[in-house]
Amino acid sequence: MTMMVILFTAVVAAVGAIEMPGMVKRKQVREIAVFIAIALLTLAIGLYYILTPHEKSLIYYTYKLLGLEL
Amino acid sequence: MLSDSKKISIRQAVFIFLTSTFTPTIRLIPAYAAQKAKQAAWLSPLVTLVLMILLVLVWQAFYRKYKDNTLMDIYRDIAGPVAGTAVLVVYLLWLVVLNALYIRYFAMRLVGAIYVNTDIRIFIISMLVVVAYTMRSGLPTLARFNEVVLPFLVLIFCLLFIMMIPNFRMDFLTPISVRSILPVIEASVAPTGIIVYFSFLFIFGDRINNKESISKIGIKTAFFNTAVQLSILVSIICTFSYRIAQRTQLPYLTAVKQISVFNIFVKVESIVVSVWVLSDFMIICFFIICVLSVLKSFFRLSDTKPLISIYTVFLYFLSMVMANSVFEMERLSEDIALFINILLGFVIPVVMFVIGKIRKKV
Repeated sequence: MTMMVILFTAVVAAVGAIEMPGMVKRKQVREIAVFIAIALLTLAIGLYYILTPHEKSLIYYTYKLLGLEL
Repeated sequence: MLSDSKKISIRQAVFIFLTSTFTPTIRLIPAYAAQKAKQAAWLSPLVTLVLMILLVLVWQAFYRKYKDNTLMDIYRDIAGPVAGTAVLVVYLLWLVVLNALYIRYFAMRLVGAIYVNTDIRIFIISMLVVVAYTMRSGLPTLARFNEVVLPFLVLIFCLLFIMMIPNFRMDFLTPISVRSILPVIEASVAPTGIIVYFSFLFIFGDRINNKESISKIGIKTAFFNTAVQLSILVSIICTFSYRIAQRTQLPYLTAVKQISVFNIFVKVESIVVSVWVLSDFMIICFFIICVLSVLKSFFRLSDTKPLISIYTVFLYFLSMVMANSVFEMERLSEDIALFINILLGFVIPVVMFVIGKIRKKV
């Protein structure tokens, strides 16, 4: 699990390292902000997936929230 | 304004729509329609045809006024910035959900149909790598690629239909009476829930040329789409009746498995799966373009290319946490997704059109 977290963080960091320099060079401040927001969301959802492998699905929680039977 | 080299024609946009709708059409419509309308299920696309023509005319009316705008600009102008943005947030969230759902469906189907006991992550990662790579080339490249894919898809589909004819039992399509009307309308929720993706094309409406032809090309598309949906339903119901269609997970694939031409040409289901993968590829790309276009509009971005790779990584994890089984995904599609699709793809554009008429903006 620790290895998975490291690998996952490395993938997100690598994507950042590939895309960021171009955006910084072109001074795309808004694009950088949106990129960071998506990266943080990805980290959150990725960590949730890796650290809770047998957890219920999003669809299960959606049904529960809406009071529907799955 | 974008240069013409970065734009696609309305014909290419509609082709993307047709290829994209192929995958949900064969996965969802047969079982859903057979459950609701039994032997009359094959009539349900006719109800959808009427609604699609109406939708096409609504979009043509929008684009008479808003020549080079996107769906987002139109909604904001008609409903006002606050209400328009609130509606668009719902669009964004739903498009992300659909995007993840289609990625998961793609992998689940491959595992369910051919590669049993294979880890779905292999398929998801492979698909997302190809999608991320292709998306960097831009919408015109994707549209040109699709111009090659669609005729191939239609040809395969026609050949399969012809080869299925010897297995047909036309008596499975009857009896039909006046009492079939309500079930047919109920069954039309599935085809309607899919054709409303037509509205999502205009999320990148600023990148579509010659929109004055929306009604001309759109109505032809509506008839073509209805013919495809009708022939899929007829081929399934005629092959093994609605009773089996409503209980089978992938009825079209099962019907294709019955094909045997002189006992020489058999096991053609692999062709369907390969065509299916192409359609999955297009629908995943289509929704990524939609999501990135909404983000572009929200945050006034100049370029969305740098966001493609991180968004595909995000999609991978979202698709993994979305569902634990095919059963959950099917329930989501049938109970919730179809209705939200109709709301966002049909009801809201029509409501916006009415508001636009009242406020004299359309």
